[in-house]
Amino acid sequence: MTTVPEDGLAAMGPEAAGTDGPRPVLSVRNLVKHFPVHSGEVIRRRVGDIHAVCGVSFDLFQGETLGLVGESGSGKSTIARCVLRLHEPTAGSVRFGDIDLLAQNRKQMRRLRRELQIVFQDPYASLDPRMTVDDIVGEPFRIHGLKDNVEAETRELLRLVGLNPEHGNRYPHEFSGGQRQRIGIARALALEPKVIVLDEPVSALDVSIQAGVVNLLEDLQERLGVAYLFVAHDLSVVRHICDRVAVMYLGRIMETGTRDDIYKRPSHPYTQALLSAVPLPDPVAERGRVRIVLKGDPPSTVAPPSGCRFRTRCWKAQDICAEEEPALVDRGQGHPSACHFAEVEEVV
Amino acid sequence: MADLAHSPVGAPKPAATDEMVEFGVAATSQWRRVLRRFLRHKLAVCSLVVLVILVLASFLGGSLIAYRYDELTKDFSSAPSLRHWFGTDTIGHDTFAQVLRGARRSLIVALLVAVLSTSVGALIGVLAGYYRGIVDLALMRLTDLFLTIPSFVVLLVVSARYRGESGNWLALSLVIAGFFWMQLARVVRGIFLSLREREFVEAARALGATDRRIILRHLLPNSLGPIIVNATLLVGAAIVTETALSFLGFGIAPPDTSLGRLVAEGAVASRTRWWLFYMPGLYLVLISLCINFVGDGLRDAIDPQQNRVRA
Repeated sequence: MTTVPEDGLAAMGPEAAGTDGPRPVLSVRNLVKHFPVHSGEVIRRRVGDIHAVCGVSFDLFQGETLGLVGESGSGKSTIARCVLRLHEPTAGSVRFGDIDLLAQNRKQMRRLRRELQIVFQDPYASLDPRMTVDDIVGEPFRIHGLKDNVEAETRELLRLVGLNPEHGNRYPHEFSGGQRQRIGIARALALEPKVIVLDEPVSALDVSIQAGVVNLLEDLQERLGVAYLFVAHDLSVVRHICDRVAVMYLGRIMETGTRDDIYKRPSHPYTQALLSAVPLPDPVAERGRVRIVLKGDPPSTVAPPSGCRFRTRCWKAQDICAEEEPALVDRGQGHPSACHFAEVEEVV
Repeated sequence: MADLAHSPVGAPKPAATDEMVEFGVAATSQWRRVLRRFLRHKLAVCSLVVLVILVLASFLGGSLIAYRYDELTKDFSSAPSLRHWFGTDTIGHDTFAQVLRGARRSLIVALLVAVLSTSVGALIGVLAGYYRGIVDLALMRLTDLFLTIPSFVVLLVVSARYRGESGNWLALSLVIAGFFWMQLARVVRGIFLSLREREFVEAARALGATDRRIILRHLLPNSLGPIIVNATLLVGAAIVTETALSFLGFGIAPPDTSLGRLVAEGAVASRTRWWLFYMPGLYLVLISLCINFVGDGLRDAIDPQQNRVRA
C-alpha cells in the first residue's frame, strides 16, 4: 500500500503522501525533547531525562487543521512549544516553509515569530493582568515596530473576534473566560501569521462557550487561510475542527490519518481505547456499547517501556511488542499506525 | 451669570475632547487611570496633602519663621506658646525651628536611602530572577554576604570616620542604603522567578518580545506592589536607623541637626520638658505614617484588580 515518505514516521498530507502534493507550511521531523531530572538540593546531579517527545514527525499544510490528541503527559504541549522554540528541542528539525527554524539565532527568530503564533490553554494566565485589552492586542504591532495605526488595527481585531472594540480600555479580569480566549486569539491573529498553534484553546472553557470559540476559529481559518496545529485531549472537539489527526502516547505518534481514518477506521488499540471513552449523546447507544478500559497508568516517561510504548497496557501485546518498536506505517488499514497488530475496528 | 453658558469659555471644550480621542496615547491614559484610582483613595490623598505640607514646611519654613535653628533666644526651657510654638530648650533654641531643620535632613537621608536601596535591590532581584543560573547564584551569594555583615557595626565605624564633618549626611545615607537593599532583592527575585513562568510571559516571548521589553513591560509592572510597599517601609526604617545612630551620637553632626538627634536629646527631658521629646517625635511619626499611607494608595492604584476603595 502507500508507503510513508522519508523516515517512515511522517504523518500523511491531505492528498496521498509521497506524491508531489502541495508543500507543507510547517514540517517537523524526528522531533525529540528531553527534560533533565535533577536530584538533591545543594549538589544537583542529573539523574535522568523525561522523554517528553521522542521522534515525532508531521507536516502541516496551508489552511488546514492538524489535531494532536493524547492524554496528559503524552507530549502534545511540548511539541507545540518546541515548534515555536519556546522550548529548545533536543534533536530533530522544524521547518517553516524553506526556513530551518532551529538554525535561526534569537534575532532572526524574533522576526519569524510574526509568522507563527500560539493561543494558550488558560485564558486567565495568558493575558498580562496589568495591561488593558488594547495594549495586549496592540502589543504585537509595537514589538515589531509597526507603530502607525495601532489603535485602528486593534479595534478591527477586536471586532473580528466578536468583541466590542469599545471595551478595549478594560482589563482582562473584567472579561469572562470565553471573552478572554477571544482576546488571546485576537493577539495571535494581529500579525497575520501563517501558522497558529492552538494549545488546548477551549479545554479551560465551559462547554457552552467552547462551541462559540471553536466556530470562531473555523470562521477565521476560512477567511484568513491560516493553518492550525490543534493540541487537545477532547476528541469530540478535535473531530469537529480537524482535517487530520495524530494520536500521541508517551511522546510518540501512535496513529495518524484523516479525521475519518481515525474516527471511523481506528486501527491502533490505543486509538480504539480512547474513542471508546468518548461519551455518546444517545443514551441507548451509550449504554449498549462496549467500552475498552485500559489497565493501569501510563508508564514513567523517565524510563519508557522497550519496544512499543503502549504494550504495558495493551490487550494485544505479544513478545514482539517488547522487542521491536512498531514503525508508523500502513499495514493495510489505509493510514499509518504504529502497531504490529493494527486492525481496523469501528468503535464509535 | 446667565451668559456664562454661551460664553466663549465653553466653546473650545468639545474641540479639546475630540483632540484627546484622536491623539489619545495608550501609555498616558494608563497613568491617568492610575491617577484616578489613586484620587479615590481618600486616606492616601489626605496623607499626600499632609506630607506635601510637612515637606514644604521643612524645606521652606525655616526662612519664614522668626528664629533660625541655631539661634539662641532669650527664652530658656519655655513651654509651647504663641512665641515659640514648640517651646525652647535649655539654652534657648527654638524647638520649632530645630524640628523643621531636623526634618529636612531626615527627609533627605530617608528619601535618598529609599531611592538608592530600592533601585539597587530591584535591579539585583530582577537580574537574578530573570536570568537565573550563574547570574542568580552569584548575585544571591552576594546578597547573603551582605546579610551576614552586622550592618550596625559597619554603620558605627563609617559614621565614626565622618563624625563631626558637616557633609556626613551623604556618607551616612550611602552606607545605610548599602545595607538596606538585600530584602527587596530577595523579594523581587522571588516574584520574578514565579512570574517568568507564567503564560503571559511565554505569550510575549512567542510574539517576539525582547528580554528588555518582557522585564520592563510585563514583569516589573506586575511586581510593583511589593516594591512600593518595601520602599515606603524603607523610608520609615531609614529614619529610624538615622535616629538610632544620632541617639548614639554617630549621626548628623551638630550644629546641623536631624529629627533623630532632637528625639535623642529630648528623651532625657521627656518628663520635665515634654515638648523637647514629643514635638520632634510626633513630626517623625507623622512623616512615616503619611509615607506609608501614600505607598498603600499607590500600590492599590497600580493594581487594576484592586477595586476596593478604603475611606
